[in-house]
Amino acid sequence: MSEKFGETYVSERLDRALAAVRDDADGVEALFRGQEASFMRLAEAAIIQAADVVEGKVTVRAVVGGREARVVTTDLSDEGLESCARMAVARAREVAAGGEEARLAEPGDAPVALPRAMDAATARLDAETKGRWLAAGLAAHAKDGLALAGRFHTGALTLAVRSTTGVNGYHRGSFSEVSLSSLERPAGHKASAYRARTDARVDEATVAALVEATRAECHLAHDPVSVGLGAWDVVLAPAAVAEILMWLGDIAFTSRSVDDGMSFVEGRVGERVTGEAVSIVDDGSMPHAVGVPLPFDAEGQPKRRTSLVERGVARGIVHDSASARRAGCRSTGHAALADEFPTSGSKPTHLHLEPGDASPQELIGRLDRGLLVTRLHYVNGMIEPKRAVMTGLLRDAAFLVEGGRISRAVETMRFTDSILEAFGRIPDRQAISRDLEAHTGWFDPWGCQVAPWVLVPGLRFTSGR
Amino acid sequence: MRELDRSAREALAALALEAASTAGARFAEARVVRRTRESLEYKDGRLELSTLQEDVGVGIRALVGDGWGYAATNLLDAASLAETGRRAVAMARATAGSATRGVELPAAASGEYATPLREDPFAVSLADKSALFAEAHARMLAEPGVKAARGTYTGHRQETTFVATNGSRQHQRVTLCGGGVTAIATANGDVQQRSGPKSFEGNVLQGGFEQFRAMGLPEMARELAREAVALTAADPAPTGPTTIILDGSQLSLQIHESVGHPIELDRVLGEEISLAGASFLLPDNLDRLTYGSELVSLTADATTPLGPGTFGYDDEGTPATRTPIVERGRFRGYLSGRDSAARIGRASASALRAESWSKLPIVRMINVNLEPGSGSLDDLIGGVDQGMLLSTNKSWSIDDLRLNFQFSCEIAHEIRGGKLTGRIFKNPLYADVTPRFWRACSGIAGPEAWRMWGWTFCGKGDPGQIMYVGHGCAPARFDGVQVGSS
Repeated sequence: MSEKFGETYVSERLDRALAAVRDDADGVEALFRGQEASFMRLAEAAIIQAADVVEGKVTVRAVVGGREARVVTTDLSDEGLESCARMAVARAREVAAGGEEARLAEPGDAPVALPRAMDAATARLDAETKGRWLAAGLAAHAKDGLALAGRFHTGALTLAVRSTTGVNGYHRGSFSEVSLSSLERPAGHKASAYRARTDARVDEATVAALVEATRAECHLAHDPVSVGLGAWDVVLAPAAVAEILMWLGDIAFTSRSVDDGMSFVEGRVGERVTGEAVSIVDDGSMPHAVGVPLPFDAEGQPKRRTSLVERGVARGIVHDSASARRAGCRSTGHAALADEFPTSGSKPTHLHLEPGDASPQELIGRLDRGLLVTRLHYVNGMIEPKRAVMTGLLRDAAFLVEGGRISRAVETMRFTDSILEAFGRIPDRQAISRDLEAHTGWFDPWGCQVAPWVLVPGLRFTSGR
Repeated sequence: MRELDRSAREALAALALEAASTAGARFAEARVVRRTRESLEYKDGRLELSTLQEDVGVGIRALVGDGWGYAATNLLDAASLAETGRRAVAMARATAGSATRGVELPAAASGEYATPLREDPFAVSLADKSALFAEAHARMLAEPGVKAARGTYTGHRQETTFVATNGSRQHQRVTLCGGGVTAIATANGDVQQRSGPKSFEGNVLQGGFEQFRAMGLPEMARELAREAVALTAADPAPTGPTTIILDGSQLSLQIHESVGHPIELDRVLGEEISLAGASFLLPDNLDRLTYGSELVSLTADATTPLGPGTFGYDDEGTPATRTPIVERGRFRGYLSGRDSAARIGRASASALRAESWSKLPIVRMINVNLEPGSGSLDDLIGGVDQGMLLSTNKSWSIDDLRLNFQFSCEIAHEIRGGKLTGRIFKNPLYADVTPRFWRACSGIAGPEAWRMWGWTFCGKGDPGQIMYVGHGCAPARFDGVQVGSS
C-alpha cells in the first residue's frame, strides 16, 4: 500500500484549514492524525478477522476573544477542511464570554530526534506476510490441541500540528502490537497463557518467540487449583503492572484529576505517597528502547520527560499548555488526543515504572509462598482514587510459588487494594526487575506503558468464583 | 463538512461494491457512515470544552470463499475506493485460508429507519444547552462544601447507507441526546461525588433534545450536592451479606456486565478471548441453565423506544429483532450475528454492529432489558428488614467468564424495618457471582418505575471499538449479597 499521509500532503491540508479562517480568529491550530494500519485477529488457532484501515482526520481549534472551540473532520477535501475551520470559528464565537482565557500554545523547543520511531518494513507489513509468520505457531497449537487467539496489528501513524502562533510539527512512525493467548479448550474455561509486545518494529523471530512462550506456558498452567483469599505476596509480570500504571495515569496524573481534588497528588507534591522503590515518569522518547515513541502532543509541544513519583515522593502531574499556565510551569507535552471521550486538560501517554536491579527469576526466588501473576483482567481504579484503591482479577496463567519455585497454576481471584499502600510495601529495588516490557491496555496507538516485573508483598485478594 | 446526501452516499457505496466484486469478492457489503457528535464539558457552570466531530468514510466487507475481509477509508475519491475494495478482498483471502465453516448468503433486505424526535439536538443553540448546566451548577455550588460541579452533554447522529451485492439498500439516521451533572465535595481529606441522572456521561437516549431537557438536571442538582457533602462525613458501608436494592442506573450497568456481555455469542465461541474475554454461557446451557429467579426475564430488543440500541437494521443488514434472553429465570438466547447464530442453528439476533465506518462489525449489545415486575420502589424497600439501597455507579469489574463481579456505587441508603432510615454510607461496594446473584432476585418494581438507561462507551473488540447500547429496567432487590466498603 502506498503512503497516504506523507509530509507534503499533510502540511498542505493543514495549511488549507488555517488559511480558510486565519483572518477571522485570534488564533487557529490544526492537528492531523493519520493511521494506515492493518490487523489480523486469531481465535481457535485460525485467522478469523483481517482488516485494513486508512483514516486521516483534522482537528481545527479556533480561539476568538479568549473563547475556543474544536471541530474534527475526516473530510480532507478543500471544501471539507474549509467548512471545518469555519465551523470551529463560528462555535468559538458562540461560547459565552468570561472564564479562563483560551490561548493557543506557542512554539516549544524542537522535539528530540526519535531514530527508532520508523521501521518501514513494519509500517507496510502485509496480511500475507503476517499469515506466513503465524503459520508455524498456529500449526503447533493445533498439534497440541490448543487454541491460539490474539491480534497482530501493524502500520504507520502520522501526527502533525500547525498553528497561527508558529507551531509546526510533523511526525511519522511505525507501530506493531502483537498480543497472543494460548488456551486449552473450551477457550477461557481452562488453562491459558498470554504474551504481548508493543513496539515500533516487529520481525518474524519476535513473533515466533511470543507464540512459543505462550504455548509453553499454557501447558504449565494446566489444571489450576483454588487457593485461599487474603493477603498474598505476588510477583506481577509487566503486563499486569502496565495495566495498573495506566489506571494510575488516569486517576492521578491528569490536570483534571487534580482540579477536581480526586488525585492523590493534589496537595501532596513533595510528600511520600508510596514506597521508596517506586519511581514513575512519563517519557515519550522511550529511553529503554521498548514501546512506540512520540515526539510531541496534540498542541505540537515537545514531550518532556516528566517525573511524577520519585523514590515514592509525589513530584507532580503532566500538563498541556492551559494547565501549565494555571500551574505556573511549562507544558510537558501532554495535551490529550482522545476523540471517544473528549475531556479537557492533560493526560499521561508513556508512563514508565522505573526498572530495579533484579531479574524476574530472582523476584520469584524471593517468594516463600506467593503468586506469580502474568496478567490482570478488568482492573478498575475508580473505587477510591485518593488512595488509588483498585480491583481486578487474575487472568491467564497465574501460578502458586513455593520455596521460590513455581509449583502449579491457580484459579482466578479478585484483588481489591490500595495500590499506593501495596506499592508502599515493595521492599527495595531488588524487588523490581531490570527487564521491561511495553504494553497498551486498550489499543491506543498514541501511547503505551512500560513496566518491569515487581514483587508486591501482601496484595489483598477479596473474592473468587 | 461537505453535504453528502443519500444519492451521493449510494454512489460511493456502489463504487466500493464494484471494486470489491471486481477484485474477486463473491459477496460484498459497503457502509457509508456519516457521524456527527457534539461533546460539551462543563465545569462550575461554564463551558470548558466544546468539540464537534464530523466523520465520514466507507467500510467494505468482502467475502472470498468462506473468509471475510474488511477495509475502510475516509479518502472518498474513486481511486481510493477502488483500492479499498481491493484491500478488503486481500484481507478476505487472508482469513479464507483457515475458514472452516460455510457462509450462507443472506436474502436482500431494503428499507429505512429514522429516530423519532421532536427537537433536533443540532438545531438547539449552545446558549440553550449551556443554560441548563449553568442553572444546575449554580444550585450545586450554593451548597457549602461543594468543591466543583461538572457536567457533560452529548448529541450524536449516525447516518448509515448500507448496500450489498445481493441487492440490499438501507438508509438509517439514528440520533442520540443526553448528559448529566456531578457535584464533587471535599472535607477532611476525603472526596465524594454524586451524579445524576447517571454517572460518567449521564443518561444518553435515542431521541431529540427533548429527552435531555426532560432529565431535569437543575431540579436534581441541589439534592445531589447535599448528598455529596453529607457523604464526606458518612461512615463506610458495613461489611457482610445483606439485602440490597439497586436503583435503575446501577442496575442498568449490572445488566450490561453480567447479562449483556456474557450472552454475546462470539464471546461464547471464543472469538473475543484475546482481550474482552469469554463467557460462562457455553451453548449446552441454552434452555437449561437457571440464570435467575422466576421473577427475572430479560430481552434483547433492537426496537425499544428511546433505547440507544434501537435501529432498523444491524450493520450486516439484518432487520431489527426482539430475542428472549431469559424467560422466568431460564436461559433462552444469545446476542448474535448471522454467522455466529448459524453455528448454533439459530437465526441472527440482529446484533452485528460497528462503531463507525472504520471498524468492522462484530456482535454487540443492542438494548438488553429487564422486564418489569410489579409495585413501586417503596414496595421493594418495604420488603427489606435490614439492607441497603445502592445508587449510581462508581466502578465496575467482572472476570473474563463474566462470573465474579464487583461494583461500587456513589451512595448507600440504609434500610431497616422496611423503611429508609435517612442514614447514608460512603464507598459502598458489592460482589457476587452472576447466576447466584440473579437467582437471589426477590423483587422487581413495576412498569411505572421502568425506564431506559443509555451507555455510549461500551467497549469490545480488539482493536477496541465503542458502542451505544441501552438497558431498560426498574429498581430490583437481591438477597444475601456480600456488601462492604473500600
